[in-house]
Amino acid sequence: MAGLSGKTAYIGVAKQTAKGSAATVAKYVNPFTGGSAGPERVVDRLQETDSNLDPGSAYLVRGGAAGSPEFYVRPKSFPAYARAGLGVNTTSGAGPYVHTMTTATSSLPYMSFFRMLGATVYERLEDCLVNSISVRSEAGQALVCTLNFLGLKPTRSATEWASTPTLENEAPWFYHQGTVTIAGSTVTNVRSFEITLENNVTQQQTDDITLYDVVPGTRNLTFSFDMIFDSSTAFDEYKKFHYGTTSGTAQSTTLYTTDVTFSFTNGADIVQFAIPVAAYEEFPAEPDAGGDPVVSSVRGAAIRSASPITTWTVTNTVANAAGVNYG
Amino acid sequence: MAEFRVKSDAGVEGDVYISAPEGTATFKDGQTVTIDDSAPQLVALLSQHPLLERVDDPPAPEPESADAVDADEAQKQADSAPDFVETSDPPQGDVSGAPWDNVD
Repeated sequence: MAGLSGKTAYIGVAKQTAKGSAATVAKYVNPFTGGSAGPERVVDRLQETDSNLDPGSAYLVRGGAAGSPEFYVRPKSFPAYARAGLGVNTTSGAGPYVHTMTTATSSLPYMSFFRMLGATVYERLEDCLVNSISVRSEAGQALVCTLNFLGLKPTRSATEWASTPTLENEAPWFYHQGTVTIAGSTVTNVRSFEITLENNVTQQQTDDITLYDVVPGTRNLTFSFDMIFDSSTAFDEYKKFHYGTTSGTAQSTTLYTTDVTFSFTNGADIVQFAIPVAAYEEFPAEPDAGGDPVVSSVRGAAIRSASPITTWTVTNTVANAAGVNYG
Repeated sequence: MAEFRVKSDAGVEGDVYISAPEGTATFKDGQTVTIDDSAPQLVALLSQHPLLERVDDPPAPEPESADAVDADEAQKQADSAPDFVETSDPPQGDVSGAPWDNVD
């Protein structure tokens, strides 16, 4: 028997119709760029006093399924992952199609994730909710998505799941295809970004090794970006954050909010991450004894408003009538 | 009942299909979609959807009235009401969004 190459692997995704109704096959499968996914098995030891120095007997605490796969953000598959994390998808258009993902009001869709390793391990992770979804990139690099999900149970297959689609090979988006907009104006001095939506999912266990349910908690959307500190754009935002306006000189007593959008265009394929009301939490401007240029590592969070806290939009060639592809 | 349609200035072509845990809705070209009162969460979702507008008049919230119930009637109801045993851990919300467990 030969060892298995870790390079032969994929993560797949499909939306379930309901809890307990695992998808039979993945809608999209993507190569890993990092992370993993698989069954969970929590083992502990009995702890009690006795005359033996050996540890207590081992016992099984619970089962489960979980994963934190990383993969490139590609136009056909990304709406499936984004929809799982945000909850709502709206598809419009007659080709190209526009998929607008917004946050759900109260719940998230149950998902099935599929994992293949070495053309030998085939597992389906069932009844999963996305705990967090994050997209990041920086100058010269492709956009990478990190997904964290928690589920109730795995199922193994001895062979490849029937009708598994081929790995998506569309070109991912790159950071140099991007446009960053702050307060409605394009800025050109942002060299990296990350946006993260956390659903704070809890796994619940009752009277069985198999978990009872997974439940979303308080949603939180944060973002960060590195902005080359110049005397115009960055300094203006710095002044608004601390002093309220670009001409302010006294520390502001109110919270400055703005809108922030990261958009990437590759031909007809477009992905956009919009935060309609964002508040900075940190906007530093620090000296450097080595003489390095000043770069502000900005952090902020989305603020609740009449609109969803964030809207992610993908324009691609995939139709979704009656939810056939993205649910 | 709540009625929604796609905003005329939304710049949308073709049908609009919305899928959410709260329910689904398909908006054909310019048509109005009516959502039944039995789906209040879907109504809430569509009400804040960036592509949609609500075309009926949403019901105004009911004003609270301290003297809505006649005092004598309230006393009569109180006298005839059975005694309830209050648990030490009644159902309650959690600001952090944690699921509710009744440890009792």
